[in-house]
Amino acid sequence: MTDAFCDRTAAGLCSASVTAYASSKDGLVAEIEKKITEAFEVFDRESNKTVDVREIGCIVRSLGCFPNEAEVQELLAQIEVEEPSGFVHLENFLPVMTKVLLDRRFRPIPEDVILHAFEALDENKCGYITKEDLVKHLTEEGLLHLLQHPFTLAAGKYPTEAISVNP
Amino acid sequence: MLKENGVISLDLNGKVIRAAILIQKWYRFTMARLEMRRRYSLSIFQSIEYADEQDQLQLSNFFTFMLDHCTHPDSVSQIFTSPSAPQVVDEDLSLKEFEKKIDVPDSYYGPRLSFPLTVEDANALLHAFRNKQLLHARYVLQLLSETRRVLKEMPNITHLSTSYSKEITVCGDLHGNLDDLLLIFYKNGLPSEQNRYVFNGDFVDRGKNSMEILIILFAFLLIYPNDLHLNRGNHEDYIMNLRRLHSAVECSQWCEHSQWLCDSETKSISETYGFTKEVSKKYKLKSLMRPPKSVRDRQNQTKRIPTTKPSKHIANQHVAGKTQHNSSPGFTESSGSNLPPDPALKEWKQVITIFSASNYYEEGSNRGAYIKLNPELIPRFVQYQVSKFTRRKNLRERVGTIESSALKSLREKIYAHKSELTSAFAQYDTNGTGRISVNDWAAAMESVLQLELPWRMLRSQLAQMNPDGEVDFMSCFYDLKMGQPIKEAQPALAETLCRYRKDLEIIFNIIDKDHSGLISLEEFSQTWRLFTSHLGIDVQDDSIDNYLWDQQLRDINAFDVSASNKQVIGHVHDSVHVDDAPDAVHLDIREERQDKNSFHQELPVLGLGDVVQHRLHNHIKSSNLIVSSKGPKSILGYQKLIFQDSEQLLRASSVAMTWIIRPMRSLSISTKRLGCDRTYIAKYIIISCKDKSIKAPVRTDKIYPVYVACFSDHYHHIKIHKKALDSYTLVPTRKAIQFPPQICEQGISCRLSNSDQPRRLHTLRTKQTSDTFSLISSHKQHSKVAKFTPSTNALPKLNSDISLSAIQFFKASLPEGCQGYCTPHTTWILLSLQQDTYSKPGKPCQIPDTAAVQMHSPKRLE
Repeated sequence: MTDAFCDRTAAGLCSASVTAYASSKDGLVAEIEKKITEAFEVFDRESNKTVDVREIGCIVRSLGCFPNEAEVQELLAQIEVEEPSGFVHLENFLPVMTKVLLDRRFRPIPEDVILHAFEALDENKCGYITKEDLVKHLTEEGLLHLLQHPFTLAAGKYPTEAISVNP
Repeated sequence: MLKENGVISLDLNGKVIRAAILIQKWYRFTMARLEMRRRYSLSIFQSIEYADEQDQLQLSNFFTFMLDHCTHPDSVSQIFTSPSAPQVVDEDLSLKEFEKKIDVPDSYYGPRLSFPLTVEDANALLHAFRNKQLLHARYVLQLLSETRRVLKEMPNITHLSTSYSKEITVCGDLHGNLDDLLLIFYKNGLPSEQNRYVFNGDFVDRGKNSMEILIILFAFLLIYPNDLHLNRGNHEDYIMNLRRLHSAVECSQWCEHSQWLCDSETKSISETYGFTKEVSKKYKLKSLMRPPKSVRDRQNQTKRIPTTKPSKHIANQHVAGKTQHNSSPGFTESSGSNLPPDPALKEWKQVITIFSASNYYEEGSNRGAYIKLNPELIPRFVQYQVSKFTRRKNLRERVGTIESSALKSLREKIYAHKSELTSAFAQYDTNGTGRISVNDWAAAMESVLQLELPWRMLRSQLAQMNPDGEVDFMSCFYDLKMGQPIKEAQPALAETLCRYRKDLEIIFNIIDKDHSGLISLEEFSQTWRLFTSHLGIDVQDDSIDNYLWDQQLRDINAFDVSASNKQVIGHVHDSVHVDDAPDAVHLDIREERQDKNSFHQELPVLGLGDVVQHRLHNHIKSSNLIVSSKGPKSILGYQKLIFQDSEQLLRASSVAMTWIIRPMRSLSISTKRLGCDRTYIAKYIIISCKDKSIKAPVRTDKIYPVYVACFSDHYHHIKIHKKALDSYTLVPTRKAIQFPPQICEQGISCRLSNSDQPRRLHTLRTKQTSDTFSLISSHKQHSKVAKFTPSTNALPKLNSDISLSAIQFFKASLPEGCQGYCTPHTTWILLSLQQDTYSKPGKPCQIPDTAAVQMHSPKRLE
């Protein structure tokens, strides 16, 4: 579970470099743009500066942001998508994403908050949530579309401690 | 977010909703990070593999070029063919003759084939291979000769039509993954008249079961010659396969001279073909097939598929990979990545890349795929993945495995470029703080390694960062210590060796044409002759060799073996501990009394080529010694000799002693890339030694030259340096060194590069002085190589410190467990020079395996 939150450090990296380069605005922007470009290119399978529009959420999140799905859609609305291929060009993505990072939107959720969130769902205070309960909570609230890759623990139970992250 | 209005029930509800939102965000974030890690891991694999393939292509081109322009093709071109079989068998060797020649023992429980093959035979083969059985060599040969016959009759271009059968299945690269082939057959049915297949090359190499795949495919080809089609890929090539050939156990060698059928636009190719390592493991046989034509023939005949893209993207991340927009009309399926169905495909104006080896990089790294073409030629893609485990690993585990494996390969690269990276970092680090910004760090990494990787993303895995956001760049190398850190180790060599490990393996294997793991003098001089004749330089190496042989034989024959057993052994041990030569060869003669009268001794015959060993054996035999050579341990010049009594032991040990100490010869080839150029440097060292402990009229001191041949990238020039080595001598007093007169007088002629820029070749120096034990050399334009005169002054001494550090840096280059990436030959010599490796009684000689650089398990840095 550690690696899930090594992005905490990644997020820290971002803020750290923000401070390091705060003096020169251009340097900061350039740095952020490079970072975005790199992340973008990882998903750019054809090396032609485009990615599938469905990957945008993944890219945004892998840059240390915590948007929800609605917010991702909101971002996408700002990004020009090439129709009908459904590809997003780096040129269109870069300014939007740079602004997100500069404005420091979608900040990471602190661990203790996540832990509290799990505790909130853990009605019986037994220290874990069953898979069924988790799915029920998330889906009944109409929020989770699908749990594609559930955390398959052997017992099918989700100890809150394990899910919360020890960095 | 919901507002809290103080109502308890609402609040509770709101809390749950907010919790759910939070968890969902967090979950998506986590998944995105995982996906990112998976993606960049695959990027790493892809970049590295692509870079390697480019390197190998260059290497292969270089040798092909050499052959093509070689002035004496007949004498030397054989080097690049598979080792010539002892019996050259007529091409028309029939099945019956194989039957006569090779017996299948009754104890053989594997499948038995009868020709012509039937479906039952093929099924038996599949069954047997599934159960990891081997096919007997006779059947293999029969199968191959039949296949060759059939393929020869086939046209160069086969046109397939979907009008006869409903569908055609097209499979891509298999790369020796038998499981994938079996799975395809299982899912898609066996080849038959109704179920037609095209296998699109690259069946072999990399995987463990190339041979089996080939046998199965050939068998089906024989059964259904019109319904199964094989294309030759770039891995069905002799040079490409050499890389995988690390330590052929015996000089058993497979060569298949077969005509490859190709559909599409391929011309038929008469091809040498060896995936020797695997074959030699499974079948210890000398080739009975006709030795293949030299690569020269291939040059004339091989024309690559014109539409195959030279830039081959290996195994794209996702199985649903990429479309290569290619405007060329017609279609080919070339190996590489896969494609999602695309409406544009209908026009067949694109290249589809289909890759059928699943788990190519690492368990779970990728799926394989094949295409089914229906009569309308609309492709349907079928994806699959072979897994040994019934329980599917969860995403996190899978990504973890792939990532750590990818990072390991990346770290190897980083280590290989350590000094370049350090200097690149230093350029950014103007204040000498040891820290640079992330941006600079990424720029430095990219400029040196040129892998086009997301360095900022990988930074957290590769280097440490201080709280100010600056990268401590030396932390890149923290986990990369190879083996024990040695204080005086000279990193340059280890680094170079590591960097060119794969190239070195290929070169070594090319020169080592019988794949004994040793480069014999003959093999070396053949290569030598190839280069020199090509370059128009007259180097009479024959005279050198003759000189050496004469010396060695004379010494052996002059042996006085009157000393008693104990004395000899004692002396041997004494000599090891002579203070002034801590680096002396240590001969571990230990007694293991198995019964009263027999001694089982392990005598390492170090660093001697086959020829030398052969002569040693002859000599021992002629001295009435019964020496039984215990099998193929000679991979690294290590041979177990068993003696019947102490007298024999005595004689043999003294003989061996001189042999071991004196004419050690090694060949190591180092390459250095200079921009886009590359330079091949061959180092040929012959070290002579004298052992005072052996009561024999051994000549006091001998010196043999070191030849350094630098083969430049432009193939025009060869530069030969001679340097003499001081002898390893166990005698405290050094006497005057005699340079072999023949060599001195001859003064090997050489030309220097006339290229525009003076070229600096890589130097492999020991730490102490530049004039010793080293590969030479910076060129100066038009400078000439100094001739060495037989005066003592001109000859650098190889003192014990230097040789010690030589050993140390070789040792440093060897991780624990003796993995080596220098040639096995060199490694072994230097390993054995090193006392503690070798002197532990009861510890058998560790044979270095060239397989892989064993890195310390990568620790996460953060």
